[in-house]
Amino acid sequence: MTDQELVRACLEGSGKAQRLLYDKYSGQMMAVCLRYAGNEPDAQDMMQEGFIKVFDKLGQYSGKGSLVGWIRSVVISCALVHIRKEKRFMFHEDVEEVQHLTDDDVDAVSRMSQAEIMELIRQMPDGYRTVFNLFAIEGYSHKEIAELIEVSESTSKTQFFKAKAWLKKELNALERTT
Amino acid sequence: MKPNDQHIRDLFQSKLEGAQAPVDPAIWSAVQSGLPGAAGAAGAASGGAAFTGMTAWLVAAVVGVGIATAVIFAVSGDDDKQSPVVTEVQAEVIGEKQDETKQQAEAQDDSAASGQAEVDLATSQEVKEKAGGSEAHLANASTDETSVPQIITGGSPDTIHSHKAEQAEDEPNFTGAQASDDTQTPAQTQELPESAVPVTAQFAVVKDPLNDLKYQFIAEYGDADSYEWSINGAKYAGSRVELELEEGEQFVRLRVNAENGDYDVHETTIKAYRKPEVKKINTFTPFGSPGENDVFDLQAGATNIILHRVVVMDNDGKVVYDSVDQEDPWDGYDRFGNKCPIATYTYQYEGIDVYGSAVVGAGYVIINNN
Repeated sequence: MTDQELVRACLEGSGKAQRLLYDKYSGQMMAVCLRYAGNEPDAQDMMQEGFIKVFDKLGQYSGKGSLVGWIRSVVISCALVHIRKEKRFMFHEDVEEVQHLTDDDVDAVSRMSQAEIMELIRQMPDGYRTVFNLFAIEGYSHKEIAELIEVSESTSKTQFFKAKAWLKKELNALERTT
Repeated sequence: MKPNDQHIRDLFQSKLEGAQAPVDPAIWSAVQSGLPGAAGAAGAASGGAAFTGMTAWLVAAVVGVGIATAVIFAVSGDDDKQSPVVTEVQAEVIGEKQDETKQQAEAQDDSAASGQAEVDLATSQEVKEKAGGSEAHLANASTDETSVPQIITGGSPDTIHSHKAEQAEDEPNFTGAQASDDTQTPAQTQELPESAVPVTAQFAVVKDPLNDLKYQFIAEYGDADSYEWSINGAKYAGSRVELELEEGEQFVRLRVNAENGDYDVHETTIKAYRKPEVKKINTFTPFGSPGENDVFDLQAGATNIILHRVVVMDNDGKVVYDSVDQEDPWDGYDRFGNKCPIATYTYQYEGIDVYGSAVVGAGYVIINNN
C-alpha cells in the first residue's frame, strides 16, 4: 500500500490502515523522539502525543511533500511542546573555556555507529540537545529555532556553540577511554 | 582546522538518516485510546503508568472537549460579512450552585492528589439531542482555530464527576482551548444526576470572521447580577465584551454573580493569531533591476508560519533550488550557479504554523526579466 493509499484509508476511518501507517513510521519517529527526550519514558510520551496528533491532523496533509517528512514535523512539534511543558528548556549559561570542534573530531564522529551517535546526543544536557537537534539534524536556522522554542536567536546560537563544545569534550573523553 | 556548521549538519544528518529505534508495543494501545472515536480514552490513558505525562494531557483534552460541547454556537459564514452572528443552540448545562455544593466541592478537593485538580465534565447528552449535526462543527473547532468560534462553557463541580486532571505547575487553571487544540477526543456523555439544578448558562468566545484578532466574549446567566471578565489581566464588565486582541495566548476568566449570591467561574485560554498563511509569489525578476523583486522569498510573505523547506523545480521536474535555510531565498540561479531561464517553475514548501500544525503547499512562479 502506498503512502497516499494509506492516508486515504486512514481518513476513511480504517483502523487497519492506521496500524499500518504507525508500524511503517513508528521506528523512525521513536528515534526522533529519543533524540529530543534523552530518556525512554519521555520519548514514549512524545511518541504517543505525536501519533495522536498525526492521526488527528492527517486531513491537513496535502500529499505534496513526503509523508514521513510531514509526520516528522508533527512529531517534533509535539516533542517541543512536551519539553516546554516539562520546563526543560533550561539553558546552560555557565561560562567556561571552550574548545572548538576540529576536523579530527568530525572524523571521530564519522567513524561512530548510528547507535553511538544517538547515545551521544541523548546524553547531551537538555538545553543543548534541543537546539542541537533542531539546528544540526532538522536543519532549522537559529531564527526559526528562536521562534519555535521562544528564546532569543542569540540564545539558540549560544546553546549550539556550547553543544559543540560539549561534543568536543565528550569525544575527547571517549578517545581517552578507547 | 575548524569545521563549519554545515559540515556538522551534513555529518549528523547523513549518519542519522533513516535511524530507527525499538518501539514499546504499549504505545500503540495508548495512541489508539487517544484517537477520535476511541471510547474511554482518558480511562485507558490513565491506566498506563508508563505515560504519566501523557495521562494528564489526554484527560485535560477530553475534559476540554467535554466542556466545550455543553454549549454549541455557530458563526455565520460568507452570508454575513458585517459581524459574527451567533446561532445559539440552546443547551441546558448545570450551573454551579455555590452554597449547595460546598460540601461536595470540598469532598472533591480532599480526593484530589497534590498537584492535581478535580475537573468536571459538563454533560453533552442534552446538547447532542438539541444540537443535532452541530457536533461535527464543534469537532472542527478543535482543529482549525482560525475559522471557527472558540467556545468556553460552564461546568459544575456538584453534578458531573469524571476525571482527575494533572495540571502543570504553570497552568493553574484548566485551559480548554489549548487542550481541545491537541486532540479531537470525543466528548464524554454522562447522565445528569437527578439532584442537579439546571439553569441556563451560556458562554462563548466568538472570533470575528473578518478579523482574526477581534473577539466577542459573551455570557448569559439566568439571574445574573453582574459579569466580571478578566482577559489577559485586564478587567471588563457586562454580558458581552468585544475586543481586538494582541497576538498570542490570552487567558480568559469570567465570573458571573447571581442575584442570590451564587456565582459561577469559568476560565479558558485562547490562542489569538492572525490566520497562518503563505502569500503566493507568482513572479519575480532576479535578473532585472537590482533591488526590486530579486528573490523568491516565501518566508518573507508568510504569516505565523515558519517554513523549514522550500523546493523549486523546473518544467522537467529537475530541482533547481532546495533549501532549509529561508534566510537564503532562491535568487534565480540553480544549484550549480547557472542562471535559470525565463520560464515557469513549480515550488513546494513545508513548515509549521503557530499552532504547531504542519503546513505544506505548492504553487507556480515565473522568472521574468521585466
